[in-house]
Amino acid sequence: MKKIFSVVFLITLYLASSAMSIDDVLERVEKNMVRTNATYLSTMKIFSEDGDRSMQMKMYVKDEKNVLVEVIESSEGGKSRFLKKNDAMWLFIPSAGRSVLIKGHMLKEGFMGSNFSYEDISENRKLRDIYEITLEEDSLYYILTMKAKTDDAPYKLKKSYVMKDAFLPKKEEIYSSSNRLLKEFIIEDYKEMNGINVPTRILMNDLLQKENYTEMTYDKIDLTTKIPDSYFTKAYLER
Amino acid sequence: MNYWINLAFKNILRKKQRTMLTMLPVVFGTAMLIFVLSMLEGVNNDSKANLRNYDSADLKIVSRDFSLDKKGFGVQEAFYVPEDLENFLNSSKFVKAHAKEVIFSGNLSDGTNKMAVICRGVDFEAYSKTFLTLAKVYPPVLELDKGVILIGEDIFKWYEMPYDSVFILQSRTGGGTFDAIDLSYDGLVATGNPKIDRTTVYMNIKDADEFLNLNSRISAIAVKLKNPSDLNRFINEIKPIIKKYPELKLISWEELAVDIIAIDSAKKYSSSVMIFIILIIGGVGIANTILLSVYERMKEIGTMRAMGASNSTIVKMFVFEGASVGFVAAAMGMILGTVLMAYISFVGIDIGGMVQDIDIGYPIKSVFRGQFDLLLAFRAGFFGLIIGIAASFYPAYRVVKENIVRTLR
Repeated sequence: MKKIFSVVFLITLYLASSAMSIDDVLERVEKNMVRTNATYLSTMKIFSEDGDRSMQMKMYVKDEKNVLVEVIESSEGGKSRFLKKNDAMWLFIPSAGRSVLIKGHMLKEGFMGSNFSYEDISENRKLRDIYEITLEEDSLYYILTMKAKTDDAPYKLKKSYVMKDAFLPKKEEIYSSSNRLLKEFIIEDYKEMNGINVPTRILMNDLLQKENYTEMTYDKIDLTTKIPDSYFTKAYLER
Repeated sequence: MNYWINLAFKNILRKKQRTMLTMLPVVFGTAMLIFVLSMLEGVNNDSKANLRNYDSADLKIVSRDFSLDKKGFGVQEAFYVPEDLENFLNSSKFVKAHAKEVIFSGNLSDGTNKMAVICRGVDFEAYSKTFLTLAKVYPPVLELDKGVILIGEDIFKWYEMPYDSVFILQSRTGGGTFDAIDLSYDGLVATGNPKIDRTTVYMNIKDADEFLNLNSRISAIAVKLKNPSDLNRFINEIKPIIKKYPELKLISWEELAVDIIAIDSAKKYSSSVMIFIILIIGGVGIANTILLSVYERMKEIGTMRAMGASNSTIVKMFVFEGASVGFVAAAMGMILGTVLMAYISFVGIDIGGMVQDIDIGYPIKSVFRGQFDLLLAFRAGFFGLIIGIAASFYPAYRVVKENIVRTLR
């Protein structure tokens, strides 16, 4: 009898030690999602009933707090640059000749009219700090349910379906406090580079509006070339 | 009657066709002046009434951060209502009613289409006493229950949803969190104020408070006075209380109507310039007619002067002739203008089909109504008379300056 108890105890201990904790999952996802020293050439397409738009962008990411985005071509002809420096975000429109600090309610607006908000791009806080997180799993996904625990969390309720084999969210569902599905973030495609899984095509669907979504495709990804610090300055933004 | 008056009348009637043609610009100008000024006055009054009845009340108490330039409220500008302020409003002899409002921007969706709207969280009873809005709901409602939404007429037309449909209102909470609330459609609001009908939705203030996580903070207190002319006295009375709360300030409806007043004065100015030009043309016509009359009757005038008629008699005769033409033309213009003014004041002109969703600057959506003001008609008529007198002075002056011998040749 004693032996049986010992075996059951050991099996339980093994299972407990091999199961992923919330922090483990978040850490693995963060490793794939949060980039340092990366340069992307990407295309953003915005689909809506009012008409479709597209723009090509070059993105330089030093770390979470230093990001430069240059819109090099757009279907509407406009060019602009964005600099995220620490918690501040600046927009520079060459034709206007000056940069503007994006703050307050402007951060809640769609980035270049897309379904991504400036806040989606500029959020620096750890998920653990703003959400109460619970973990479930099925055969394919770790399902992280995140409920806002601070007044200023970007979303009230979010469910993230993290692929067990890639540690990337296949889909993130954004709900209202009354559990109505409002937005969907989907990683359509990814590839392995330097030992990490990098998303190459993502979608953001606005479910309150028919056929309204934004598609971001990463055409070129460079994770090796070092980006000079001078890129992440207002002087470079306004050059 | 003096003989020169007889002579002046005879001369007017001698060339009837010319006199009629001379009068036409003055008739038209005077009628237009009455019509346009009546319409601008009426539109201006209706605009202010629409603003006060559906949007601003007589006065609003708002957060210090509220900016007229920003033209809107945000949840960031919400404030707690001080108890003594509320007590003061309940007991003030000037106040007829007051209503708390939670005003915020959001997106209204039926699941297929999404539209940017202004949302107002209101208490039905207090709001009904302060504004006329809730009396303009179809089908009529006696309550604004929790979980329901009233939608501006034009927003509703855009969605074409059946009664009892559920709308999703999405916004950012007080902390900035992206959230949405489901609300059942309960009626449409048709006020005739485009800002309300095209962009505004109403919900229960408790729903708004819970949804935005405001903890009983509000965006504004709208105050309706028993007598609107007591506004300044009421402001003087409430000022000491407001001063105790540096986070609050007062905004009168006049400050919110600054755009309407600016548009109105610009339109009044441009219309007046245009009509003034028409009347000047009329004046030149009268001057020309009198001048022709002077040249035609040069010998007659010479004979009168040789027989001892004084210069002043000659001048009076021609000025009377011009004034008579101006007076008759102005009287005809007044009659025509008054008929037009009566039409625009009591029937109005429906411009809804023409302007559709275009913002014309006035808070009026369809029927433009004038102001029926007989004094305005008399003023315009008097202006026509003055034009006639002023226009005939120069020709009369020319006559008396001529040498008598030359006039008799």
